[in-house]
Amino acid sequence: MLNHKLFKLSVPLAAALSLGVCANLALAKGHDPEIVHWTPQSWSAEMNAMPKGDPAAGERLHVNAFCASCHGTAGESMTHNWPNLAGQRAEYTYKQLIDYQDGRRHEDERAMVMITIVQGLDRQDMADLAAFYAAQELPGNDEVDKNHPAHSLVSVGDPQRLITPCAACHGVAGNGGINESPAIRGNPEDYFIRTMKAYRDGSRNNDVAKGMSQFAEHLTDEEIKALANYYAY
Amino acid sequence: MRTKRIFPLALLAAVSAGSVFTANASELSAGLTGQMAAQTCAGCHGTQGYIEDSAYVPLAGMDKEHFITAMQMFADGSRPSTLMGPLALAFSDEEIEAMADYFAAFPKERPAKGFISEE
Amino acid sequence: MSKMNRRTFLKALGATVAAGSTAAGSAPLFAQKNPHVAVVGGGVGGATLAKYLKIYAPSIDVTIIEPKTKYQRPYGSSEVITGHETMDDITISYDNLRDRYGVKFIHDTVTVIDHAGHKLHTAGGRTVSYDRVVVAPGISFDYSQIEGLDSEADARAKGIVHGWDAGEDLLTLKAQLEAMPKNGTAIVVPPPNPYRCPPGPYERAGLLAQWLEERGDDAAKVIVLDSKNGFTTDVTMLQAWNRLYKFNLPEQAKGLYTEEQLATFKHHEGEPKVDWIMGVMGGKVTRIDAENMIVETEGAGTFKADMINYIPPLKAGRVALENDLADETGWCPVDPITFESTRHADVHVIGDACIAGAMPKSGYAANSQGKVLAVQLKALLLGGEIQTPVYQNTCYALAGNTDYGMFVADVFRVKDGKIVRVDAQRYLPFDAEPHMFSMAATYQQAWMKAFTKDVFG
Repeated sequence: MLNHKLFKLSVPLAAALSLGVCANLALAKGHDPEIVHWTPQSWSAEMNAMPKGDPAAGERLHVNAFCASCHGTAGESMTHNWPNLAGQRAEYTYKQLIDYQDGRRHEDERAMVMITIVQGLDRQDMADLAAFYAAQELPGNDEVDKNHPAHSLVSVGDPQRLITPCAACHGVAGNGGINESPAIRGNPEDYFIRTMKAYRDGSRNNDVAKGMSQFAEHLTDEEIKALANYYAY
Repeated sequence: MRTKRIFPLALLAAVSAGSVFTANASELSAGLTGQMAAQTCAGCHGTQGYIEDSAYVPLAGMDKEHFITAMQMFADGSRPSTLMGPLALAFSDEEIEAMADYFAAFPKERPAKGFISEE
Repeated sequence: MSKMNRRTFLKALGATVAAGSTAAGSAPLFAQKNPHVAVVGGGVGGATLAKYLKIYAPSIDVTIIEPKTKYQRPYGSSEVITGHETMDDITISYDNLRDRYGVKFIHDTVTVIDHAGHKLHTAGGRTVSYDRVVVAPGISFDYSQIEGLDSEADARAKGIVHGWDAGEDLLTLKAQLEAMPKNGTAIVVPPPNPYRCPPGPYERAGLLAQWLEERGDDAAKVIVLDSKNGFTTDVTMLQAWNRLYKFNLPEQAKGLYTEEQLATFKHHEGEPKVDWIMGVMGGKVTRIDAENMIVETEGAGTFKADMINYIPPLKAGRVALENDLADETGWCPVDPITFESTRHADVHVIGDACIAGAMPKSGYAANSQGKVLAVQLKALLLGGEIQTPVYQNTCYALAGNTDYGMFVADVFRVKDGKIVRVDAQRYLPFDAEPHMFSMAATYQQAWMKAFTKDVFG
């Protein structure tokens, strides 16, 4: 169990450090620590207990907790392969922050930075950050290109391969759905492609009940690329 | 309102001393090119700002204003950092703009051969 | 971009360049064939120079002459001793330099630099001509100042290895650490200034202490016997040891801190897990009795050890010493803007071997020098003006605990003919909170990969 008050001055330093070490180092060296994956029940309970977020507090944290260094002044994607956070569903952001903190999400080097930096956040902080990003405008618009090569996959899916339409969870224009189903519009193509491949090869496996990976497993490189282009802005 | 001071305002000392060093930077960097200024970044941020799967931000193709804003905020301490604050302080405004122009001129995607000739 | 005329420029900066050898007019603007730059040594400095020269000026032919076919990085290599990294992890291929950038390689050892003839001779009997040669030979080890060890080979035969240039030494040290009896004593002897990787010996001491603690040795001890009274990152490192390894700050080191800062140090009872015997306390090591594992100091008495890591005083790499590039200090004086030797024309020395003013002997420094020299060589060989340089150095280090990192970050410029440091703050602030040290550790791990890619990738 990680101490969410890790960085409070009241915590004895050596103790705080030794807590941070295990998950972080084990992950850095490529070993899986003991990770408890979500069940639909456990995640649902966690999500229902999510505190009410304060966007203003979230904005302060965004600046002070290093987030802005990589995620821009308001969650916009600063580089071509990092995600857009602006306009993201609060439940999704909240879940990712918890998953980083618990080591559930650790797919690559970038994730290591997130794992380290979120150790000091408590649930209220996470809810505040999530509320701040949710309050920003999602890039792009609701216009849909029905002639796009990926449109069929988005709106119809592929029953042969048991792929439900992306739109079922993420909306036809990528606005996101309910609960933690994220907005997927407005990301750089590189980020989208990397994410889908990580779900496909299992390096990212923090989705509840394989909610994403069960579909990603069936997608070809070409399909992933087309989807990235479809949902990019 | 919760006033949790998680992060120290520790760069204040550096900022107050900054003017001296910025003056130094201008004086000693006359004619310094973007290429020259930007090579200092590459040791962490990748050759020509290209870097994949890293804790460090890729800089290739970064929007000029993004770059400048980030460096200015690192320098004045309004965006906390580990070491970017002191480094940003050691470069003049002209150099930071030259770096920004340099990286903005590269395509975001790493080219197939891995780099771009700067012949 | 406004550029000064090279002569005025150099004059303005008070630089010293061997007269005439690099005057603007000497650039062979209409050369019949591609100019050729030979690079002696395929370490960080040589590799960076070669790669960047091919980026900046692809028409210049670049050949690295290096005996090893694969590089082993010394930076971060202390983690091999404690098992966080393997030899494979620190071994780097030259394939990208060769295939992606078109750098040529000759795997051989340069013996003689024929300055007048612009030729190199190798142990393998080759002769290599050059228009300009970049010597980046790294370091060599000086055993003349220690009693009991006659030479590097003698020390190694007696089981005392430095492990300061990667290689098999690291595995020897690893085996020695693992063979240490429970609650034993390890001694680390850092070299005097100047030396490669200033925070390195202290990081290593911390890593050993951490490893022993994790093995369950409650009373094991790592003693640092030093001829110096301070080191790069000392402020942060000693603070970390106080927090992590029951380290008590010596009275003589208190000047590093303000009263307010000192008040945050804890006083630990009992034996520390890391101890630092400073130069002023008599910590300079004078004799090592390898057979009986006894280390004698100038004024702090005699220590019995179970493991001794003696890192001797350093000098420039052999090829620089043997070819009149080093002065009486054992290091190579160079122009601060072009890194051209002040002793011989058309020879540039970069990396640990050169005297670069305020710049440390570090991988990042060598990398920064290599890039600046690539810009300057393009001008010198293809025509154009020498550029105003700026240099940088960043060194990350661990306190021992691999979740507790620190760094030094500096920017350097040329002023009055010297390379000077121009940044205000170099370390994490004293009152930085734990997550900052944790982030520094994460960046330390990331840096190993990112930096390696910039040099060799």
